[in-house]
Amino acid sequence: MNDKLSKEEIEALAASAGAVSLNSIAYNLHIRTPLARGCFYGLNLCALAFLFVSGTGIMEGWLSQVNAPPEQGVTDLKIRTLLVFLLFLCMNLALAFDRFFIESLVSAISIYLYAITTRFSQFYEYLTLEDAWPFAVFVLLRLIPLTLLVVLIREELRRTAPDRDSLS
Amino acid sequence: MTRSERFVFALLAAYTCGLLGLHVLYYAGVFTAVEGDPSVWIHLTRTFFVTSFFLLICIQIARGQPFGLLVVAAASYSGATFIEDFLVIESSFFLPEHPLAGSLYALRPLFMLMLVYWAVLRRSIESA
Repeated sequence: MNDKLSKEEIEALAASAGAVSLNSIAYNLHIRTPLARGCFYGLNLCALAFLFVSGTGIMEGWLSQVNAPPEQGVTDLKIRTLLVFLLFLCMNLALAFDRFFIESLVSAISIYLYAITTRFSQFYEYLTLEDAWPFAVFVLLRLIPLTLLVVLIREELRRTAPDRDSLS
Repeated sequence: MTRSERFVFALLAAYTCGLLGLHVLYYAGVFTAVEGDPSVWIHLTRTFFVTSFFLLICIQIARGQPFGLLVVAAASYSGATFIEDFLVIESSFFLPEHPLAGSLYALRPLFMLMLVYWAVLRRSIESA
C-alpha cells in the first residue's frame, strides 16, 4: 500500500479525513481515477443485477424468446450465478485489501469471455430474423460488463505502470 | 524465466499439446461422421481458448514481454471449465476410450495446480 502514496500523503489524508483504514474500499477507490471508480461501481451494479435477476424466472423467460435449445452443452444458470458471485466477492475483497485486484479482474474477463462465447455459439445455428431484437438486447447486456472490465483493467495497468517502470 | 519456471512450462506445454492432439482426433471423427455432434460448438470454443492462451503465452515469452496476467487468465479459465465439466457436462474429454484421454483426465488436477503455481510465481516475479 505504501508504494502508492508517500508517508506524507497518507498522513495528510488521515489528518483531513480522520482515521483512514488502508484496507477499506473507500480508501482504495479514493486512490484510483474517477473513470476506474465509475467502472467499479458499474461492474458491481451489473453483478448485483445479474445475481438478483437470476433468482427470478426473468432470464429463462427471455431465453425462451430466442429460438435455441437452452440445455445443449451450455453451463447451467445456477453454475453461472455461482461463478458471478465468486468473482463479485473476489473483486470487492481484492480492492478492499488491495491485493490481487488486477488478477481478479483478469480472471473475471477470462471466464466471462468463455461464458459469452459458449452462450452465443448455442444460439448461432438456430437464429432467425425474428430473433434479431431479443438477441440484440442479449448481446448489448453482455457487452456492458465486458466493456467495464476492459476499461477497469486498462486503468489498473496504467495506474501500476510507473511502479513497474521504476523498478525495471 | 527461472529454471523451475522453464520446467513447469515444459510440462504444461506437453499437456496442452496432448489435449490439442485429442481435439484434432475428435474433429477428425466428427467431420467424417454422418450425424454431427450437437456439442461440437462447445468443443470448438474450448479449442479456440486453449490454442489462444498457449500461442499468446508463447509469443510473449519469445518477445520477452510480461505474460503473468495471461497465465492468471489461463488458470482461471482452466478452473471454470473444470467446474463446468464436474457439475454440468458428464463427459469432459473427447474420445474417453482413447488411452491419451485417460492419462490426460487423471493428470488434470496436477495440470491445474501447476498452472496456478506458475501464475503465482510469474506475478510475484513481475510485480516484485
